Amino acid sequence: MTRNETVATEPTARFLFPVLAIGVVAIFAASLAIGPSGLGLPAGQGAAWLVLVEIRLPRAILGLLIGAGLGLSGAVLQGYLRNPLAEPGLIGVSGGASLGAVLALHTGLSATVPLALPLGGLAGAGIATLGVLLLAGPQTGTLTLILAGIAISTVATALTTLALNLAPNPFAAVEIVFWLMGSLTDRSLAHVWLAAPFILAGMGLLLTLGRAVDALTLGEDAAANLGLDLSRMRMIMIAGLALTVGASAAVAGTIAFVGLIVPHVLRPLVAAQPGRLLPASLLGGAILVLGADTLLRVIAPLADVKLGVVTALVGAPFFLWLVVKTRSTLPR
Amino acid sequence: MTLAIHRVTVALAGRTVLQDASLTLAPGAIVGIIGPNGAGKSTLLRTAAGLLAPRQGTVTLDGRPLADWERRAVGRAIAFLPQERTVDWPMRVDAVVALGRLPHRGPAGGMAEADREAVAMAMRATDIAHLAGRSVGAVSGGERARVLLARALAQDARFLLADEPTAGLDPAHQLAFFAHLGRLAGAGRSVAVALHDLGLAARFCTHLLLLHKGRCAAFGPPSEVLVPETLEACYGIRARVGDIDGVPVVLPIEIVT
Repeated sequence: MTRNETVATEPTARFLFPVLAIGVVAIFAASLAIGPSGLGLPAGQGAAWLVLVEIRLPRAILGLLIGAGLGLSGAVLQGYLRNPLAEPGLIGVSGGASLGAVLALHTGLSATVPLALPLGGLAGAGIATLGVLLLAGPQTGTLTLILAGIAISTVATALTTLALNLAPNPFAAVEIVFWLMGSLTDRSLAHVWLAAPFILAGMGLLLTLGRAVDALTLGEDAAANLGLDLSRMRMIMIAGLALTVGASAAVAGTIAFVGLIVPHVLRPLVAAQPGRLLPASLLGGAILVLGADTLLRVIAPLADVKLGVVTALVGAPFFLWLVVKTRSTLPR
Repeated sequence: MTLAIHRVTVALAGRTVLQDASLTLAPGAIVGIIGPNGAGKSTLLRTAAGLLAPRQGTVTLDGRPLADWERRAVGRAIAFLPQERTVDWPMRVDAVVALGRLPHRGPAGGMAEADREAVAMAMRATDIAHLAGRSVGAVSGGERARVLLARALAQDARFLLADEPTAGLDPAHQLAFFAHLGRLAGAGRSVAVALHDLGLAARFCTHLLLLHKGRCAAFGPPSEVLVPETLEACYGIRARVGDIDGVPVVLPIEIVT
């Protein structure tokens, strides 16, 4: 073994997780300390404390959980499909969650029943997951699963558009459109309590799949020979994605690009090992979403630019840059 | 200590691709699976590895049906090297080889000393130790084939089932591969290897199984299977079979129409 060939990647690997973890803590603290009220971290009780606990804390916790969940989900799905272009929306869960929430808005239920919006989202995510499972069947192959996901997504998008089309008044339409953009603004601790158990349970399931995605690198036959039960893995993955992505979309709408970009950026830093990419993407996703949400409050404190718009605005050029970079390093 | 396929019939997408095929792998055997394209070589190996369920017949490991074994126990007993040389991510070469240790490792925790040793040994056997820190995306096709072979060797299983492992290897590495198979067999392991190179099959295999249209056309020591009449009947070729200085040689001459 020639030493100088191995050292090139090892230092990054050793420092990656501590650096990411410190990043998460730092951005979480920053997200608590920064906001339009101009308050820093308060010394004691009072109005400033209230701002912190009632407004910034839920927002920061949700950003942390949703970012972590989306990053992890993207890494798992890319590992399962062995395709760097896969993203969590692919299996139809976020489409279903959006539809459920939009229906809550459309029917006016969200104005009268507390938490009707996220509950509608959760119901939508659950129904979409069942739909995908029924369509694809229990012994489904990879392609069937994706086709079922796309079919369910398409139906959900069509029905969401129909709800928008039939909006009772322009305000309702605007409300729906804004919600669809994805945001963490004005979420309360109740939202946290509602979403956190689902997201945490989902992440717990997804984190068990590290060895499975490692083995799948060699293809399904070799992975099976290495002891992987592919259909069991698929069920765990679908459940994990449904819980994580569904609950995220139910409380925050669709936050684009996180599940796609984060694994992509971190992959070279874990020497492309899909199993190690899972915890890395979890931390990276939290940094991206919390960072984008905090940045938003610094740059445009009063404009109410939606988080999903920012992640897409940051994500798209970054993705283009990655495409150009990949094109120049890979043989045609 | 045997892996036995007994009169299996396997259908893929409704088409019977293997019919009434049998093969028993006993310790010390190196069985070459030969036959024209589409004869059922890969299907036989995949069935023996428990990756395909036969429609009829049985596959048993140490007398017990393969399906009754725990998956990871099968992975420790049987190493399967597919024909497709898939490595979907540009992982490090040593990390790819280390995947072969997955069936041996406990549910949590990293690689133990025994795992590291098996990986290092497999990499030496396939002459890829110098590639350890490189990305598999940055090695040649033949080197990649050796990396994947090393993964299967690192699995340290009693049975090695390899589907065209030497295709694309240079002559030196082909010879090195069969020398290693000889060492494995000498240590009481058994090997089944699908091959197209009849010369290598003649020289290094203890037995040959010739498949033709999904059926076993011949089985026995290479000298009994590799005879001109059989080759003509199955491959549709006229071939010279002989030896040079005691080394068996099979030379395909022309297609028989």
